[in-house]
Amino acid sequence: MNPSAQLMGDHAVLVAFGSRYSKLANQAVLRFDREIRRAAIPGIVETVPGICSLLVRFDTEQVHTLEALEKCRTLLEGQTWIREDTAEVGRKLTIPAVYGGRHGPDLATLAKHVGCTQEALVACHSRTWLNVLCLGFSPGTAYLAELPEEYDVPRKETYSNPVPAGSVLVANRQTVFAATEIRTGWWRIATSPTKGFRPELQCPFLFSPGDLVRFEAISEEQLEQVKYSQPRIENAA
Amino acid sequence: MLPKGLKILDLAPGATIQDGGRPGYQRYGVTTGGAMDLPGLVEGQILLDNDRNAAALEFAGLGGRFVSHSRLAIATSGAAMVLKLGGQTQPWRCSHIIEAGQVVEIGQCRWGVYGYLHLQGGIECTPVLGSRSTHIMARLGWTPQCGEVLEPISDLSTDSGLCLPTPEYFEERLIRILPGPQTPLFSEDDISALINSAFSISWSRNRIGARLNCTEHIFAAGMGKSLVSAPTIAGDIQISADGQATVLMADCQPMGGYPRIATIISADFHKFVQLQAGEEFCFAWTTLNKALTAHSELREAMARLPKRRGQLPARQPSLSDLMHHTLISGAVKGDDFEVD
Repeated sequence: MNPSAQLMGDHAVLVAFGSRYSKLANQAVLRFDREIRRAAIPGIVETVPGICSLLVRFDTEQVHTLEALEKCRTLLEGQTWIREDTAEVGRKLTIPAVYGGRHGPDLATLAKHVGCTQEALVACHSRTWLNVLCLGFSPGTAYLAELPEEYDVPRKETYSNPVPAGSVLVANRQTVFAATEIRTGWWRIATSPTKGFRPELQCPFLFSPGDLVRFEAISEEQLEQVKYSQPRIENAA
Repeated sequence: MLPKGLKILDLAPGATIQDGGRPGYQRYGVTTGGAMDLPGLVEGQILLDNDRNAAALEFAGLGGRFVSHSRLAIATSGAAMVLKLGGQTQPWRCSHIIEAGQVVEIGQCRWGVYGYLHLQGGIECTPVLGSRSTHIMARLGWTPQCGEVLEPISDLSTDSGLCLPTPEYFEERLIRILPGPQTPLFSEDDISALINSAFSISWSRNRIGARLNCTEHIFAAGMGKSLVSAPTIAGDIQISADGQATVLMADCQPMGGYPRIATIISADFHKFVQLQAGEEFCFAWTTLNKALTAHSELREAMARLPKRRGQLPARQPSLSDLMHHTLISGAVKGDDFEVD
């Protein structure tokens, strides 16, 4: 699919780089997001990265809708957005999490679906660097990808009881970090003491689209100790 | 000393605090939210000379009962609800002075759904991410409860007893829409049914979404399974896996995986939210130019609103007022106040 910019209602444009997830499409979304923000086009209220599309919302008092659409299209035509790019731009975050047991009640079932032991699943999940594709569902809740093919396990048939903030959830090769309590059909394999959303702070959101995240398995005893509960954050060069 | 303000004696479910919302956080999972009927909210701000960030109490179809701790100014706006001050029916869309100890009762909607109760300067509560709005989906902001007090931000000014005319849009039964990026995913059959069927909002509605009833058509189901979640905007009409339409409202999810057949234009969104459950309406395609013209006209009409404020006829004294006043001869017809 060729990238496209189309109107959504009368005060927004959706810039799409694909109709299903691919790493390249999501990277193109985040690259376009950075560029359009850098361009500081008057009247743009916000940009919202999705998995393979970007919403550009504007104030029609400040910019005519067709002018905003035209600016998006001009930017879109200015370069090849879907391309291999090894330059790291996001931060790298290591997030502690307790896998299995009451902190990850679905670990055993998911391991069965994946066809490995629980230990192998934990080793694989906590070894993989995951990209923050976008945030959504609830404040600060991050969609992360991508796990190996064998993790292409659909969501549960029914919604669970609410899962607490800090839940690490898996389905369809993706991982969700629940920053608030949510109801979900995803498999809960771990829980992190790290807070993804702290409304009392000036910057209340831990994750940003484009960050790289890795989970680090900690023990239940370590969960109680502050030094293990903090995320480690490195800024990319 | 009692805190100044209105103590909540009763409050119907669905009541929230609302201002203009918190734009700019959808990339972090929080949609703008804010008053469902923004022009309706602004009417009350104009009546009290509040600024456009002032928060009000938003009712969802049913009101509540309050008692005043102090002498203060209130205004009501949005959906026309039944207002009683000290037991006396008073006109809606007006500002009133309330005496300490006086009971304010807000009943059901005569038309519309979302009504607003304003205090001078706006209602005080701690802003979260720059807004006082309750966000149902993101669980942000304050959800007032019985026994709590709504405090005004400013002290009483003398300017009150003003009223605004009833807006015309409550008569509107045609909601204009624009096609979006996913419209081509729908069959001709679905697209023609969207504009040729009568719809109504079902009882399954809140600040997040409004499920529609349509007895004439079921939209092609099951499409949703293959779609990747994409960012949403309020007014999107999404078709769920069961073939039913739902309109995304102010507090909608930031991303949606169901296909969206069309989007309600900005100038008609507040008309849509004020439709009562079961009231029939139709969708009609429009053009971007007409949508933008309608939006400019709405903005201009709102800008003219301060000049359209009129004086409320002298208020009929309530029983509690009579305790404080010398009775004079004269009679007032009770229906003089039914100007709304």
